[in-house]
Amino acid sequence: MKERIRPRRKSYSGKIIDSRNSGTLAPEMKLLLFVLLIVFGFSISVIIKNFGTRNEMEEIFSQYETIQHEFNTLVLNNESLLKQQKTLENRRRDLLDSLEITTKRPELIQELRAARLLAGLETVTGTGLTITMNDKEGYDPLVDKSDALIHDGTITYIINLLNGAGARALSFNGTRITAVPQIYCIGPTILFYSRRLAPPYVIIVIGPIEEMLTVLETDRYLQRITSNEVGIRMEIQTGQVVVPTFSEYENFREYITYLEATRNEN
Amino acid sequence: MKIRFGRSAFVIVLCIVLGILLALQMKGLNRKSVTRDSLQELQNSVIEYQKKNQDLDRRNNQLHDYIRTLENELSGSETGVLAKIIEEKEQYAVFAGLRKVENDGVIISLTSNAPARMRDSVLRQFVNELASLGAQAVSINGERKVATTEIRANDDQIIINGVRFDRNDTFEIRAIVNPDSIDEYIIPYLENVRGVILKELEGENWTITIKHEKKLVIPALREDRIAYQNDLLVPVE
Repeated sequence: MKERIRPRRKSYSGKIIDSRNSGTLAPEMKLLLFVLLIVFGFSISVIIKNFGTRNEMEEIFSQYETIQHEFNTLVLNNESLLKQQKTLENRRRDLLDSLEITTKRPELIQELRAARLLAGLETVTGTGLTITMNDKEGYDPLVDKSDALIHDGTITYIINLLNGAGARALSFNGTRITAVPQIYCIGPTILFYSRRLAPPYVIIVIGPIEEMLTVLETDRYLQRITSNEVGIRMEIQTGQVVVPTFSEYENFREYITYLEATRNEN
Repeated sequence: MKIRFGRSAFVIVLCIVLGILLALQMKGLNRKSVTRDSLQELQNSVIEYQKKNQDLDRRNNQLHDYIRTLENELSGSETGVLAKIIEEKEQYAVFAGLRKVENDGVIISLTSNAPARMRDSVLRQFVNELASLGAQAVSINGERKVATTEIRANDDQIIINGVRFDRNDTFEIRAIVNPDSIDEYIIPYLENVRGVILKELEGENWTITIKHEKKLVIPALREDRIAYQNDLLVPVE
């Protein structure tokens, strides 16, 4: 029978020793240790390098965590206030319905409701469009045209087109469009009233579907910016939509502070 | 045997230490992503939400008072509810553009001399600039701008709220803005916009004037205008 051969070598003293039991390492072990020690050294050097800046970083991070916590609380508070507002609005409506005024002065209640509807202070539903817009995929400011980004002018242009086609109520990223909507660009984002918005931009509109679709599909400017050459992405869906009340995000009274109503001559 | 065990233990300890170091670095990496800019952005969001919540709180308190008045009216202990309802209705109507309003503001007059014709884009640009400057009421040639007002050119005419205006006529945009900033900020800003527009229209003969007007009157939206229609809207309960 053939004897199993073990790797052996001579020690300096002349004795033959087994490398598995000796103090030396196998080549794969040496390689592993080499890699581990390099990573170890690299880690240590990074830690030493960051040692000076760590305190400042820690301070910023701890501030960030505190403010983040405060922000989360405010968001929760906001949700609960909005919920409370909805409950109160419903209660107000129920009370108005149960008052005698409804029967004694029905025209007043009717005017009140019409004014609320036209002011955009009621959440409304109806058939219409949901238009979702996105900047060009992988926009590169060095290569692509500035048209490949959606600007405030793009949004107001579409709103104007829809109005021309008979739109009755519109919202932009969840906020109702009002008589004088404040929409303007700040850097790569759009500011709409107090909300800073980033793509995707969503316009929801109630109105005559066919007319609105035709005007969007045949408009030359929109055809150009949504072409492959420019690259803006626009998707249109039709169906039943809901346009939220303006008061969901803003207090309308802030936007009539300079207006003094006067009597009409006629 | 002892040496083998020692060697393995050394590698295990090294791996553990390395793991801890890497974890520390990953933690540091997460923290590094928090810059002064992102901190500032978060602070701005906090301020924004604080303001929003204050407004909502105020509005809810007003609603509470209003509901109390309605409840008292129902129980027969108060009779001022009619005045409250009228006041509320008027505020909605003012916001919707259904009331004639007055205050200090600006008038922008635009004339395009032949062969140039008025462009809807120029009118829209001024209206959008006024909106972003915080204008609270705007009219173009006496047509009140509301949420569904369109300003578009069609052949020889510009259509506003369904009313046609000759493109060779002078167009007048009126806006009520913050009276305290008209001279210092709003007019210089609009003059700048005017300069940019005139540069774009180089070669065409245009006259654009901007002036501060005291007691500027802006008419209400007329009831026969298309923007007055709300037939397709169903309130969501």
